[in-house]
Amino acid sequence: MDIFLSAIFAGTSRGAIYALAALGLVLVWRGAGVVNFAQMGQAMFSTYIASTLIAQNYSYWIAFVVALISGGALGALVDLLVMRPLNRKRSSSVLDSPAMRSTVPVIASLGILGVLQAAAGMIWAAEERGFPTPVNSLGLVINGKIMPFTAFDLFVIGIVFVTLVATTYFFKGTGMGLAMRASALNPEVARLSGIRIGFVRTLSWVISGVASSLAGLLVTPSANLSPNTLDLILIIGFTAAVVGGLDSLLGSVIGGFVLGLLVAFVNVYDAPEDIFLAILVVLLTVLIIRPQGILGSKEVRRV
Amino acid sequence: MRLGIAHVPEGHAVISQLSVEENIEMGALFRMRSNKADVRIAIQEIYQLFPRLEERKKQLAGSLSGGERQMLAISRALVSRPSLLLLDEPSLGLAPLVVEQIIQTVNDLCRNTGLTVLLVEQNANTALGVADHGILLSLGTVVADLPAAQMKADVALRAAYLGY
Repeated sequence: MDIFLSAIFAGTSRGAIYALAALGLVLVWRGAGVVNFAQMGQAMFSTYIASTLIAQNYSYWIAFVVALISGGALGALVDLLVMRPLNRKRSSSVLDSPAMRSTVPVIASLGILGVLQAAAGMIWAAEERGFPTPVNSLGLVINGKIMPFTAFDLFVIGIVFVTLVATTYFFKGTGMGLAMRASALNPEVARLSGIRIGFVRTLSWVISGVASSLAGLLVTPSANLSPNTLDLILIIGFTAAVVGGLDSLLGSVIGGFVLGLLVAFVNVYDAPEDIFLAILVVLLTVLIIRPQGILGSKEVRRV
Repeated sequence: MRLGIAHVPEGHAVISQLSVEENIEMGALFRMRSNKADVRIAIQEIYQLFPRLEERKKQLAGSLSGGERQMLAISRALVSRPSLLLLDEPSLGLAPLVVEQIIQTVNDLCRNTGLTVLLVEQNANTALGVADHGILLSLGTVVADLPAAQMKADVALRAAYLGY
């Protein structure tokens, strides 16, 4: 029973992090129409920045905030330096076919991932380093009993919950959120309504950058920090986003928790080596049975 | 938009996955921060103009009829309080009765508020019925440039270009 409970808690806390990674992917997918494979590279970079600050004796919280800001800034840079020029170029070249239009930015994002990993390797050397947690990560003790979850688990779940509520409010309750939804759904009409599409796109890169650097900060303590650590999170986050339906924020969060629990149960009842296999099986099953994901919408065309 | 020109493209340009209310608000987002109170008034005025949109404000725009979607597209443009409204074929794919109603509403608006409308229309009879001035284009060339009433009365023009 204790094993079961601890798997549930570990899975929920893991799932919360995957949900953040998936959320970051969905934000850029909906806001800019790009599947951003560089996302966890950006997160890795900002986590390195935090780690450097902590090594210089700054407090965890200062490093935390600086990492989030630099995550957002990296998102803006990716959009301004790569995606926007790419968009301008494509509209006048042979690459201008619908298939290329959606493929080129994805390839570019893979390139950015490579550049970020190489740069991190050059700046910080490629050796692994640990990364602290802000609160205790040993089993929580209540009434003299050791609980199957840690204070850090609770911290992670709390932070992710707050992030979700904040993003939902932003999208449903503010004008800028409406502008973002409008330009994702129909850029043409949005532009005619006086919405600055370029600005809105950059903003979705920024928010996604912040969400993924948050995921990076929260997941690194349980692994070690190296330029490639977060690759696994990218794959899991991507699977979570697909499972939930790439265009649904809530779906991506549900997908994150589903995968978190899956990983935890495979880890406890089977073997850690099978985690990858289990994830791929889930990904394939969803793609075959329900390609639009749990909450994703089918593309509906009306005449 | 910021120059006071609003454009309603042909084909009921609304965002069908957003609600009616959100579609209207969208047209006012760019001045929401500077003049929130006036935006609210403008939205109320729209609902008075098209009461049917107020009844359906929580519905998704995709669930509206063609005529209602055209009203919504025009509302989205009007909520920005333009001084010039560009209307591209508002009658496209709509029942004559609905067209009549929409054109009349826009016409009243012009007479009452001093809004200028540039209307591009194939449905010449209806268009000339409300317009002050008509410009007739054939294959991109101006064929006639006359006050609307005069154009309507010109039998030769009508027979050659307007088909009635």
